Parts: sequence; C-alpha cells; structure tokens
Amino acid sequence: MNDIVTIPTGKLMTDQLLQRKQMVIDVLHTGKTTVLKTEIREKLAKMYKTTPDVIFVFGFRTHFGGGKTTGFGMIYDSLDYAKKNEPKQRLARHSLHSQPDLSEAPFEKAVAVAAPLPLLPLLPLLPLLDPGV
Amino acid sequence: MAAPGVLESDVPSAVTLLKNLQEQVVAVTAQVQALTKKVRAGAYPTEKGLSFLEVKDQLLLMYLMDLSHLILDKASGGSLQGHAAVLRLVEIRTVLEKLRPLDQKLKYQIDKLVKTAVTGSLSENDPLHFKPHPSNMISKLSSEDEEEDETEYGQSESSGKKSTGVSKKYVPPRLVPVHYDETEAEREKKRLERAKRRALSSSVIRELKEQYSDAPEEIRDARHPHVTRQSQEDQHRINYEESMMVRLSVSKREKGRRKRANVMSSQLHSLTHFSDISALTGGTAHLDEDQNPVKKRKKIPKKGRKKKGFRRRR
Repeated sequence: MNDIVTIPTGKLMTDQLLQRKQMVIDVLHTGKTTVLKTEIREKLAKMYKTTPDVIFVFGFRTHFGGGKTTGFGMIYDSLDYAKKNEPKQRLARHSLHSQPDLSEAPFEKAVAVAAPLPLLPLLPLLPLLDPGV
Repeated sequence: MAAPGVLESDVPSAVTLLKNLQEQVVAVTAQVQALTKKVRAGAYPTEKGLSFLEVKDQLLLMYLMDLSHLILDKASGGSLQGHAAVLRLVEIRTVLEKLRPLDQKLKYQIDKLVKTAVTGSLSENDPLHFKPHPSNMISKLSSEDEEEDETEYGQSESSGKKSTGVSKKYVPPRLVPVHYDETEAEREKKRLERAKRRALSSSVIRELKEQYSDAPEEIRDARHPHVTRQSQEDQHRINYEESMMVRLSVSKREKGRRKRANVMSSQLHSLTHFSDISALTGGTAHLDEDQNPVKKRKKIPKKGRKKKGFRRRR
C-alpha cells in the first residue's frame, strides 16, 4: 500500500443539498497496476476520518502509459443519507441494495417449471432398461 | 407727417391699389360665403378627424378675427397701443408656434391619408408603405432567459416531477431579417484568404522568417502551433466530465477520430510532408495521397433523396 498517493483534486465541493462531499480523485501508482476501489476507499476514510462504508468511488480511468488514474468520489455524512441520495447501482456494488432480477419473464418461468425432466444426463443408464440382459 | 410732394406721387399708386383691393375683397367674400353655406349645411364633418387639425383650424380663425379687428381699428385712425387684440394675437401666435413641431411629426401620416383619400388605394411600390418596426430590434432573448430561469427554479422545488405542466405553443424567434447575398466569387475569396493565413503560419514560412529576421532565436516547448480540433474537443470533454462527475461514453466514430489524430501527430509524417503554401505562391493545391481533397459544394437536389432502410449515422 505504500507509494500509492491519493489526491483529492481542486474540485472538492461540499454539497449541502445532498449531504455529501464530492471530489475528483487522482491516484498516483507508478509501477503498479490500477488500484482497487476498496483500497482507495480506505485511504479516503483515513484522510477524512470517516468509515469506508459512507464513501462511494466510481469512474476510474487510467491514463495512457500507466502510473496515474483519475476518478470521482463522494463521502456522505451518514449511511442513511447515502441510501437516500446515492443512485441504486452504486449502492448495489456495496450490497446495500439488490436489484430485482427481471431477466426472466413470468411466462418463461412457468414454462420452465412445467417442462419435462432433463433426459440427457440419464442417457448412460439406458442399457439398464433393456430387459433380459 | 410726410411732405406733400411724397403724398402727391403716392396718390395714383394708392388709387390702383385700392381698386385691386376692392376687387379682391369681392372675390374673397363670395368664396367665404360659399364656404360658410357649405359648413352650415354640414358638408365638412370633423368629429372623426384629427383633433389636432381641428384645434389648428380654430386657432387660425381666431387669429384672423383678431387681425381684422386690429386692421379695422387702425383704418379708422385708432392707435394700437395696449389694444386687447394685440395680446390675444400674441397668445395665439405662441400656441401656433408650439404646434409646429407636432405638425411636422404628423406630416407623413396626413400625407398618406390624403393620398389614400384622393387616389382611392395605394400603389404597390409606394415608398410611404414601409414603416419602421423598432420593436423588431429589441432582442427577444432576454425575456426568454428569464422564463427559463423561472422554470428551472420550479423544477428544483418539485424534484422528480416533470416540468411540462403548461404546454406552450412553440413560437419561433422573430429575428431581424438580414439580406444574404454571398456569391460564389465571395466564397472563393474567403477560402483563398483562409488558405493564405494557414500557409503563412506553416513551418516552411516560419523557418524562412527566422532565417531573415534579426530577432534572437527562441527555443520553446514544442507544442504544435496548430492546436488541432481533436485536442480541443478532448480538453472540453475532460472539463465536462470533471465538473459533472460523470463518465461519457465514446462512440466508434469518436474513437476513430481520436486514433487518427494521434497517429497523424506522432508519426514521422511531419518530417517529410510540408504544408501547402500554394495560396501564397499562386499555384494549384497539390495533395499527398493520404490527405483529403478540398471539399467541393455539390448541389444536392432536395427531391428524390428519400433514403429507405438503414440510414448511416453521420
């Protein structure tokens, strides 16, 4: 974790309406791969003396050549405000919100339930059915 | 009292003048009597007319009456010193003088009305037809901005609600029409000027300048003098992303453009390909195989341009 420098840049702004601090984060990590978001959250928590669970970071892009990554971060006043104001997909990344799985339509589900048993796995047992062997 | 000699010579001229006066008086009385008869019969109704003109009429009549009163008095030998009519005359005169600028301002309208009354209708190319519309000169944008601000404020109040409460009919902005008459020749001239400017700042010309100028040689950070459009767009994109705290997606076309711009600037292309200075030398533009030819404006017929099916994204 040494020589990873996280710098919240000049776009630091306290958003009173949404009860959070938002900023642009510059991460310098020469010689290493892109830093994990969890590590960045811990670093920010140490810098701002909060717990990592009210910190949400996103949008990290590494510049060409490596060594520097830029992204955005938001630090909420409390977890309740975070649940209220943060978009759902970012809460889902921290498993604070679960999206309902809408990939299967209800009709397809019903059909799958009523479908016959899968027979392919039973194929090797076919010779046992032969009477008189 | 004049000398009797002067009086003697004046007598015949005075007699002729008096005779003329008599004749003229008879003519004038006849005309005035005819007019009064007509007015009494109501041939000249003035209720729906310009009240300004009516006031002027009355004032002029009063002026005439007072003047005739004065002349009567003077003719019967009285003195004009401190005569009441003089004061009245002075008053009416001042009022008439004050009315004169108004009269000038109304002159155009009165002329037009009289012409309409006389001819019955106005001709097509009547220069009196064109009226200035100063309200067209006022920019309508300031009022539009105010309206926009108000709607935005309303939006922030009721967060999440749609702002299409009042559906306003779209009125296109009324701009002052400006005549467009850029001919093909002017377009050519503009293009040539642009090419000349570009040629002047090319590396060839710059090196020539450096060679012949007495100024000391400057060695600077090698930023390309022609900051490309792509780099400006990139900068704009970065600024937007940082201020809005979002990441924008890059379309395929955009990616292609970026790659091309990078390739162009990082190759050894610039070592051997010099920019086109034909605008200064006067020859025709010569191009390498990988450069785009100058765009020629084609007249695309609007009709029959229906593209069915898949439309390529420009």
